[in-house]
Amino acid sequence: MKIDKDVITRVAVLARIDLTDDEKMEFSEQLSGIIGYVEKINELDTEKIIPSDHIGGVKNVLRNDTVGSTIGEGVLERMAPEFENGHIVVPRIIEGS
Amino acid sequence: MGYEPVIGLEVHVQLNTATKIFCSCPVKFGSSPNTQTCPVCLGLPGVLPVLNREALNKAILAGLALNCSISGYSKFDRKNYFYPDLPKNYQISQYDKPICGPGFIEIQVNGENRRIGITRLHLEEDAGKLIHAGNVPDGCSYVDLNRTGTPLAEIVSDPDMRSGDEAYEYLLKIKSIMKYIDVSDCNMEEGSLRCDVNISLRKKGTEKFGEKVEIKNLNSFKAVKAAISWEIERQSEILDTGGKIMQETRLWDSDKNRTNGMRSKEHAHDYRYFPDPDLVPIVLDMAYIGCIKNGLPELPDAKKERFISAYVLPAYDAGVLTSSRELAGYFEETVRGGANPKKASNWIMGEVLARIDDAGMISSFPVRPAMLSELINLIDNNTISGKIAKAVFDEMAVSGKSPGVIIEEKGLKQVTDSGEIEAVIDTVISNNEKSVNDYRNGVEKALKFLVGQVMKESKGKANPQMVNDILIRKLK
Ligand SMILES: [Zn+2]
Repeated sequence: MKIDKDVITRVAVLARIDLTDDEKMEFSEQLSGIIGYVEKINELDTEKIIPSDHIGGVKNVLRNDTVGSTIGEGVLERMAPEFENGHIVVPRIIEGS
Repeated sequence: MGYEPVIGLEVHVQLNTATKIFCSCPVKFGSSPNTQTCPVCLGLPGVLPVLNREALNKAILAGLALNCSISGYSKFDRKNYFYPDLPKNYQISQYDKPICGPGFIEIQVNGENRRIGITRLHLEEDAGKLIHAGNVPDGCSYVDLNRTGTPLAEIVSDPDMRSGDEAYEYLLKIKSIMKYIDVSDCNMEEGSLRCDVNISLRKKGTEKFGEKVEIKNLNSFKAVKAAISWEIERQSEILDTGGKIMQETRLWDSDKNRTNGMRSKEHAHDYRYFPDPDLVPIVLDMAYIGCIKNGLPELPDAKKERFISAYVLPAYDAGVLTSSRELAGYFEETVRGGANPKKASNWIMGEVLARIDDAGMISSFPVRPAMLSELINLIDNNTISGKIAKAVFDEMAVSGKSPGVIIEEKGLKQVTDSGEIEAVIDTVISNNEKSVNDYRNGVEKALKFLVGQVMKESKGKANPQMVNDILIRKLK
């Protein structure tokens, strides 16, 4: 599968990454190479094989509904770029009219 | 106009577990912002989410109560999008293998039974909360991540509803069932029940669905009904004038009572779902599901049917009484205390429900079932009149005292001593010569007046039937 410039542009938008035209060309080549390498797997006959969602065969790992500890005071404040009145501050997002 | 609305609902119910779905943070409404969080729900690098057993069991129970098939194999997927209330930039949800498959519920609209299909029920985590109002500085929003990772069951209906009334009844039934099985508080104000509407119109008699509009920001069941009415009108008008319905998401404005198109910067959504490698599949056998099924209580529909047949109640009474499990229990306990079922129903639907906002709050109502059955029995054995009983009930609802105590304290016992009643009647007869003559001259309503005077004179304590009988005898 060829990862062309359009695909790169779309993925960049979804990932919120700004790319220059040169970068798009560069990544198009690199990603096409990687995908092309993995495409070899298409040569296998998988007609009778159930798609696997998960590897390893582990299932039903559950925890009990018991309250544990939460983060300490001030930890989130130190991680957030901006913090005020107990809240993380972000640029305003309003939907609708 | 000749259009038929096609309506489907997506309902999110918050499961009432003690902890979040994938971490051990407590789920509590109203805690200080950002305190109920940990590295897992904050999506910090290197953490491992693990499914809460209780959330899984409650989702299965909810599915069973909605007549859904329970999946032997289900898994979790990542739904990718960027939003400030979503710290990981993906929401853990279930895409193609949900925990519960197709089911249905029955609703009654205008006396007619309707079966509404359930497409699926799946588990997912909630996002955080964005705050725009209050003392938030201009150009900024606040983020509170306490809600992040709260367990949700998303219930998707088939596009089976045809009116706002049907959607309303569907929501009431979903809420009633979820509360019966105690998996959610279903409190719309606190956000533990949320609902989005999908609606399209098609020409009556045609099969093909029209272009679908999604309505969000619905903050009450009434808003759901109003938004559907508004959309039906808006879309009809567009179609009538030869226009085309645009597939879009619209927000309900509860102040202006209308929907508005969303001005979204986002292009068509591309969530790029893929299996979450951190979470292993859920594989359930019949034994496990059967074990949960055993915990299923009698559900509203079955209880209603039983109330109709066992207590010989009208369908309407049975419907009201079984709308909440607590209220149904209150009724049955009152009957067990010896009260006549229909009389108990009348008292509960009238006096009791008039005094509480939410039938689910019946457990904290001062008049306990034993006290209500005592009151009903006191009327039945002529200790007090129905009118005095209402006054006694008023007092019971305030003080929580038993009716016997109140009647004793206030001397409200009905007078059934004929000598005592006759004495009062004699006074009334001699004081109301005109009415007495009127009655003797054939004016029937004069009797009613005289009975009223006697009741007034006795402060409502005289037995009305006896007053009536003795008066007629004395006036002959
Ligand atoms: Zn947490």
